[in-house]
Amino acid sequence: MSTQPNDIERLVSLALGELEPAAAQEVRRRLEQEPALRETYERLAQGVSFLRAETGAAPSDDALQAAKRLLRDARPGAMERLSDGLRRLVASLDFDTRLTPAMAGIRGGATAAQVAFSSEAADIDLEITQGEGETWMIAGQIDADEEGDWSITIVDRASEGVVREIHARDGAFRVELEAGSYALRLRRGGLEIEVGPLQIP
Amino acid sequence: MRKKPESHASDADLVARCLAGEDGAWSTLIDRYARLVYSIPARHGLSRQDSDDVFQDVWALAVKHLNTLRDGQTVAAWLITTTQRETWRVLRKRTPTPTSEAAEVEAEIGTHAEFELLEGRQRLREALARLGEPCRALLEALFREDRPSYDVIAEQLSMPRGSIGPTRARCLHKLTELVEEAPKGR
Repeated sequence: MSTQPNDIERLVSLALGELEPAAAQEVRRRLEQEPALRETYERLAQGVSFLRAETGAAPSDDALQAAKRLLRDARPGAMERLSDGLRRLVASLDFDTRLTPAMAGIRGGATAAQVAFSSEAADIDLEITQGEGETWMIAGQIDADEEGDWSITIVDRASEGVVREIHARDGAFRVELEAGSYALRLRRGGLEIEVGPLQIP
Repeated sequence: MRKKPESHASDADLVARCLAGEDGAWSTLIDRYARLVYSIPARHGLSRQDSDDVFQDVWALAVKHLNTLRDGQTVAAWLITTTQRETWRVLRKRTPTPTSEAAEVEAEIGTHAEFELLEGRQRLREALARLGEPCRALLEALFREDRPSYDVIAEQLSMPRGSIGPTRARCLHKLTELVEEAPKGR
């Protein structure tokens, strides 16, 4: 049986909780018996739920305008970076065991996490374990099509300052860091891959 | 050929135009996804200030990632994953040793179910933007936190009060149809 305009009104009223108990029961009975009607109801209920959640969930005008200024402000730097002949890639996060507990059973607050990033030139696997005192040990492996060494610059995202410059022989490296949020810039030949943000711990 | 409205431009087109230095494209991209990004820290209980900070941090990262967004991965998916990660980072900073309540909030971040929910809501958001008037204005008025009375809505929309109920139902139905018609991803 096709859904009639009158049915739609009643389904919307049900989704909004506006029907009297007897009328609501009658509509629910029909939903059990008519799959097409039930499907329409589920979509309408999803729409109602969305519209309810949507109210108030908007950034402040200041935050919105600040985000819109970002590209304009970033452009001179971006052009400068593009003109130095270096090919730059930004690696995407594939998984972080702290975000997907089912994946590894290792979760925030524990002693270790595994984080994987990938880019078109290389995949980067990182393992974070508790180090000495307040520090954390990061063991990494860069897997690229061609084997070889990489130089790595570790930058504190808050201050933009360089924290460490290390060497990854055949792509393997270990470094001890304090808690913080970092970006790793991996460089080899004319290629640079930015990895991050990497949150420690 | 008639130019498509800016709001109908594909993400790939907008990203390419951002990379070419077109301010308007960047603004359109942010307007399209502003509520998606903001809704993630907000639904995980971050304060308005923290949610605004996450919002700005995500777009700062997006500027750096524009080159990679052009290829393959959809902008919405990248924004969801990145915003979840930034939200988690702020939550963790706020409570380094999570309480069971905080752990419960954290556990939902990044799950497939949340990703599906956020993607579904973004499709509804985009359908709402395409919904003609008076439907869009009516639905926005009816679901506002400070919803005006039906009399006020009827007057504002020049609509008989008695037709608000049936129109509301038709508009909601049309909204869900627009979602069904839209291709997934841009």
